[in-house]
Amino acid sequence: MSYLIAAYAITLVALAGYARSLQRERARQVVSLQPTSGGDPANGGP
Amino acid sequence: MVEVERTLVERVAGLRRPLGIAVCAVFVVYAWLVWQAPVDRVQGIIQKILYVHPPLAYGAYLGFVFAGVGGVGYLRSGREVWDHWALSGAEVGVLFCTLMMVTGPIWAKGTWGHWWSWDPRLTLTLLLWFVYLSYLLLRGFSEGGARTARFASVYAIAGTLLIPLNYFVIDLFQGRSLHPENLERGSLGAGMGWPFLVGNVAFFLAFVYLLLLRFEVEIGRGRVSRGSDEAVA
Repeated sequence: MSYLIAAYAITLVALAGYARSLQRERARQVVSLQPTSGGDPANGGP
Repeated sequence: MVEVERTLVERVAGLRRPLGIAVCAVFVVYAWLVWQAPVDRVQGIIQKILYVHPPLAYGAYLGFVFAGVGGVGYLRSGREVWDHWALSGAEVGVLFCTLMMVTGPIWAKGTWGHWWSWDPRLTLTLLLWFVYLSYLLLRGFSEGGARTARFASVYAIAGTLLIPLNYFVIDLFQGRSLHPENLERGSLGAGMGWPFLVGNVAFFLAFVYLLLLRFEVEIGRGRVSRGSDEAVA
C-alpha cells in the first residue's frame, strides 16, 4: 500500500510542482513585459 | 512579429485557463475511480499503479512525437514557433517519461521483488529517456539561434524512431520480456476499464495543459530577452 501511495504522490506532486513553477515564470514575464506607466516625456513622464 | 506572437499567446492562454479547471475536475473523478477499482487477485493492491504508469508512458510518447513534429515543421518553414513547440513537447515528455521511470520500478518492486531488470522494454525506455534528456541538456547549454534549432530538429526527429521500437519491443522478443505485454481490448479485468480510461483522459488533459503553458513560457522568454537586448542597445 505504501508503494502505491508513493507512486501516486510522487506523480501528482511532480506534475503540480512543474505547473506551479511554469505559472510563476509566466507571471514574472507578464509583469516584466508590461509597459512602464507615465512614459510620455511630453507630459512630464520619465 | 511581436503582434503575431502576442495574439498566439493570448489564444493559447485562452485555451489553457478553462483546461486547467477541466484537469482538476477530471483528476477528482479519476481519484475516486481508482479508489473504487477492484483489487487484483494475483498482484494485490500494487496493481493499481496500472492507472498511472501507462498513461504517463503515453504522455511521454506524445511529448517526444510533438518534439519530432515540431522539428519537421521548423526544418520545412524555418519559423521559430515550431521550434518552441518542439522544445515544449520534449520537456513535458521528459517529465512524463521520468515519472514513468519512477512508477515502473515501484510497481516492479511490488510484483517482481526487485526495482529494476535489464529487460528489453526497460532498457529501451531508459535509452529513450537519455535521448530526450540529452536534447534538453544540449539546448540548455547552447546559446540558441537558427543553427541550434536546426540541429535540435534533426535530433528530435531521429529520436522518434525509438518510440515504435520501444512500444513493440515486447512483441519482437516474443514473450522473453519480463515486462507485461501491451494492453489490448478486453485485457483488463472487470471494473478496471473505467479507471484506466479516465486515467488516460486525465493525464492527456494534464499533458496538453502543461504543453500550452510551457509554450507560453518559451514565447515569453524570447520576448523578455528581446526586450532586455533593446534596453541595452
